[in-house]
Amino acid sequence: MSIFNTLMIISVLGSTLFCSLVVYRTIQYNKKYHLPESHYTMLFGFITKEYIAAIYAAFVLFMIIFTIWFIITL
Amino acid sequence: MNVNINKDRFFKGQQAGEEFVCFFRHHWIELLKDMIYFSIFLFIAILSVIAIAKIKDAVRESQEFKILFLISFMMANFYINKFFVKLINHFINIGIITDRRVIDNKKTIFLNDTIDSIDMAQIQNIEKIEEGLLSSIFGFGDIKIFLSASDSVKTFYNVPNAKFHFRCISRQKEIRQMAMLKERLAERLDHESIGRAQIKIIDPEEYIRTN
Repeated sequence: MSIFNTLMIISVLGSTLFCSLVVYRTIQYNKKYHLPESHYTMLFGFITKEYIAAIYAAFVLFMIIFTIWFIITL
Repeated sequence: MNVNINKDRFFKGQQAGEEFVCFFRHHWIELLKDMIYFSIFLFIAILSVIAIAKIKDAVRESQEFKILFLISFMMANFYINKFFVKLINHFINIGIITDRRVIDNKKTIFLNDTIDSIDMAQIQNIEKIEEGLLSSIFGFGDIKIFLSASDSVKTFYNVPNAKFHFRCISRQKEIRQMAMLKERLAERLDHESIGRAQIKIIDPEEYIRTN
């Protein structure tokens, strides 16, 4: 495997690990804080941190799929 | 009777008997710059994905372009992670108002966890500052809390709906200080009545009214 491919894979793996850590920390935070959310506390009135974590995970998943596809078809 | 009622009920560190009133985060205006940059990044990323066939051809042919692509990819990866961590940090950095305290919980996902708690009884003065066009339009501002015991000032920056939170803290401060005054008065009257060896029950509210 070339250095180019290896570095791309390492980058994506690092990203995945970091994302998992962030999601884990968010879950741990939710266990300690049960603050009642409302229209005034959510971002733009409807976005919560759970949505943000889900969108983050989706982005990382896209990066993984893109990297695998790019390496295979290169 | 459960003496631990409300303990850690809404947040870690909530005292027994402490009533949670509300909490607030910073206004979204703090994230505006990052959101604009992320939109630009997303636009460039989408264009790159659309032109991926040409990029692949260039990467195959040129070693320099390969290195450039790799660096761009790693930077994009890093930027995505940084942006989302900043968004989540926005959600966990909060201020909490209870019937006894105002708590500034400066927290981030990994690096920071600072809690600053101000007793309502120690608050001397509260100031709400709304300066500028954006503050007036979006209703956010700074809230400054002046403490009675020292010269220190606690400032909450970019508080959304600053008027509401200002009124909330003012009311809770008044209630708390009145409750503590009644407590102290009741204690004093108890001591005085014991000292005079008289058993006389005095209502603190009546005492305040008549004196």
